[in-house]
Amino acid sequence: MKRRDFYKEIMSEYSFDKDKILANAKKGKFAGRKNLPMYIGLTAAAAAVVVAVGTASVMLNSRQGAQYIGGTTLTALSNEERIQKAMEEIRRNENSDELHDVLVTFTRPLAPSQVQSVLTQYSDGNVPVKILYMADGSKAVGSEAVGEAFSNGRDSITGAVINCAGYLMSKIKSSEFVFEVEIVTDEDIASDVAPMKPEVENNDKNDTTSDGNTSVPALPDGNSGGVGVGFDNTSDLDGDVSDGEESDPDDPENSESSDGSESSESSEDSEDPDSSDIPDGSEESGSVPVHPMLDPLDGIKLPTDNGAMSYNTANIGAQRAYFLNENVFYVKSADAVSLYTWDGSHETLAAQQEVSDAKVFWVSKNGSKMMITGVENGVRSKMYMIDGANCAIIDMCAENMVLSGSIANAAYSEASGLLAADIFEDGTHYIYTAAVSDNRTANELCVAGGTNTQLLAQDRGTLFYTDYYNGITEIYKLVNGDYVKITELSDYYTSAPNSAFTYAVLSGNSDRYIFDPATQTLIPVQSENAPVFGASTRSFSLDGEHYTILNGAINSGATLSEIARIDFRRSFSQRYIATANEGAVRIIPGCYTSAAKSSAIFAEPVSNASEKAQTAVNSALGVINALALNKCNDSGITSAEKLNAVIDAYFSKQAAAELKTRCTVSAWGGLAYTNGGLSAVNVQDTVLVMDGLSGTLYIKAGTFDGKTAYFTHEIRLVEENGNLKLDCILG
Amino acid sequence: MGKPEIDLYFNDAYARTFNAVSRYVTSHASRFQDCEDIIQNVYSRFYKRISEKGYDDIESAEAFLINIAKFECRSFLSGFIKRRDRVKNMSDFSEEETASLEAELSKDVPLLDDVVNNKILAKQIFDDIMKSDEVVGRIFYLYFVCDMKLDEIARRLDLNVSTVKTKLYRTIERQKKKFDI
Repeated sequence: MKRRDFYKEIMSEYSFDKDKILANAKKGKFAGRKNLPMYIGLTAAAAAVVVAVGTASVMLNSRQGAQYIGGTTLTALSNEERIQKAMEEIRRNENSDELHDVLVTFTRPLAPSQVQSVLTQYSDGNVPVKILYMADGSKAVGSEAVGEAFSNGRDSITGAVINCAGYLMSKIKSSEFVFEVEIVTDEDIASDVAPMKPEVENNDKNDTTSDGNTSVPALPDGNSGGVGVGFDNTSDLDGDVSDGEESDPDDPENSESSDGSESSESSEDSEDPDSSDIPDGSEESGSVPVHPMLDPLDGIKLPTDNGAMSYNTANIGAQRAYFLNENVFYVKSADAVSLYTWDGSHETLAAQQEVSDAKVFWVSKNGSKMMITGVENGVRSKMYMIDGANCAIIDMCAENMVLSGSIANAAYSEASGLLAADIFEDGTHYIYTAAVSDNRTANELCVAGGTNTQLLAQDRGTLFYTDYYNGITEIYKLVNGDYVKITELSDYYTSAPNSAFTYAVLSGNSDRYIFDPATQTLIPVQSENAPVFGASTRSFSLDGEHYTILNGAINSGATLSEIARIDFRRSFSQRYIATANEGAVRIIPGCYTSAAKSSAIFAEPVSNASEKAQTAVNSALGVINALALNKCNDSGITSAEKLNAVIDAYFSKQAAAELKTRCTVSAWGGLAYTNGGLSAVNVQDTVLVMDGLSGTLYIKAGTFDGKTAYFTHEIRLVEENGNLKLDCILG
Repeated sequence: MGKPEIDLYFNDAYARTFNAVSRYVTSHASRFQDCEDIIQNVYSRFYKRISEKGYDDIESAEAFLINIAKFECRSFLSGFIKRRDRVKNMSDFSEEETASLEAELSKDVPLLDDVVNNKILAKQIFDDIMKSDEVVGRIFYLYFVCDMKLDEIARRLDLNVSTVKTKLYRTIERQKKKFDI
């Protein structure tokens, strides 16, 4: 026997017990727990879902486009005007089934497959595409050219004109890849309208807050663009396993997650930052005016509040609570998470799951779903899907990844469908990727790991992670199952992916970066505080200001819709806000209304009105409140005669007549009136800025992620018989 | 799909794929002593999968199994971690030694027939290979069972070719003396 054959025989015979393996496999036996990662399916994860995008040959309907500014075509408008126009169109079409030609501008040039995915995401895979705009400035017009552009798969596409129902506009806009959606007309197309250029003119959208103010200086120091490669690691984390609070880098919760060990809940839940922002309805109510009001008739006390409701549940041990949609709110307590339905006056427990120390790591942009991790038997091993739309809490069956380890971190991208988890076991962080299928994890794969490995971010399904070794934090991306080093940073940086898994904050001992995976750029953040993304895919708040990232650069400002995503706990319901209040859940009116998003402005108005003018306006507001809230009788206005007298006392002849007509105030006899569509106003929430007898009344719309926004109303006063009276109607 | 049919498919796949799977696992597992457990899990999982969901959608059992193995052994991270600490510069292996190795392996040694049939001695020789150096067992398996070339093994294990040759040759030389073979 040759020696080679001898060793072949020896090694074949004794290396592995083939018979035992065969027999055990059939018995379903597995070896020791150390090698138990689950793998489900080979091809499912990789299978690309090819969604047909229809091409349209129908002619554009010139009547479909909205005429926003005097019939002006889009090409005649500035980007700022286009964005304002688009916001109004989206708002008006929120519930509309009417078909429109819509120009979709992408945040950056996309591949044809991405474009198809974005456009068909909300539309059952069938969206007629009329025009595609290419990055090189060319266009594909008509079904044949569009079809060819989609099939060749080579071009970068910056925008598209599609035909879709109005209500889809807001949904398409919500995609992280979409910069703006605008209704276009035949005239727009004939005038060669083109997508906006977010990378050049992002001030129009992102530097402009809702009040139209532009450009706050960018982040302190040199962050207007990316520098080479890199990323950041703040421990912000709505997205990491914190509950979405702005987290302190020194917070033990953040440091614990690096090794996966358990620690007690951080202070995030014991000190609810929402509380300071949310006015207590009971304090706002009442009839004691802050500002002077005339008292035209004895016994009449006009209401100064808007009658806002405030409701407290029983003590249910709530540590955190917020609405997921208009009628379902989520409650976290020490040992459970719950979903309650809310009918406007009472709550009903709809679903509950016992789990300790629940932490939210992902929130869908519209709040309909969340993913949380939780502790079971002292180990953070559970992962649940919170389905607000269906009032369900679903075990995502993450055991196949977790095995006997614990979840140190997790992140999910709604756009790519990639779930990533950092599983800590025996001193090693194992990075897993998985899909989410039927609300459960699937296709779990262990793709990387090390003693100091951390999740970072993803871009279109490509995962980035960090590894710390010998004083260097290295950044890797996974390409076709292998890892490729992108860059490195000296010293140790902790990584905190945002909730949408689109960026990550890297925090070191002395500096901080945001990592943009799309451009593989490190954007310096020179602040001691960590950016807070909330549920936003691209905007964040920092040191009281808001910023938006586009193409690897940070731009000041964010629209109120983006701020709503950052401030997601208060914005998923337009009508209500829920907060934990000493174990109970307090429910008060919401502030992120469509009206606020479309017309509220950020401002810091200072009243300069005389006491006489202030008194006149406040008194008129009292009348409006009495009518709007149907509180005339309660206010001491017990007859038609008194009501007419009160109106005449505070409004000019013309305004009084208009108001009486609008509210169908009876001229005599019994007290009869309607609210006339008026809205009540908290007098306390107003600021009057006058210039002579005309001016502006600022009415607080709410506090949006720490910044106060106002509705504005033009005010005109006239002097009649020595008294100032309101010469217009508010609301 | 009945159990006999599943078993038939599994047995066939097992016979056809074992070499490829064991080769993959041996190349990628962080420790050779874990390889059997990993292979066990690969096939157990494979059997469980086809028992529950059938095998109609599996085009290539080998590809399917390798994919399971790829992540079953957490090979990426193992290699990732290990490579850093690995000392790459080993003593060079001379051409003469290479030629000597090839000649040694090709030489007919009648005594070895008896040794193979002596299960106790054969197992002792195997155990001696395995306990000498974690990498040695892996090299022996890949070289003799999987018929991989030395430079291919070196690349796979992130070692210099000369290191692979050294470990292989010196182990054989040592065993010749130790076991008188």
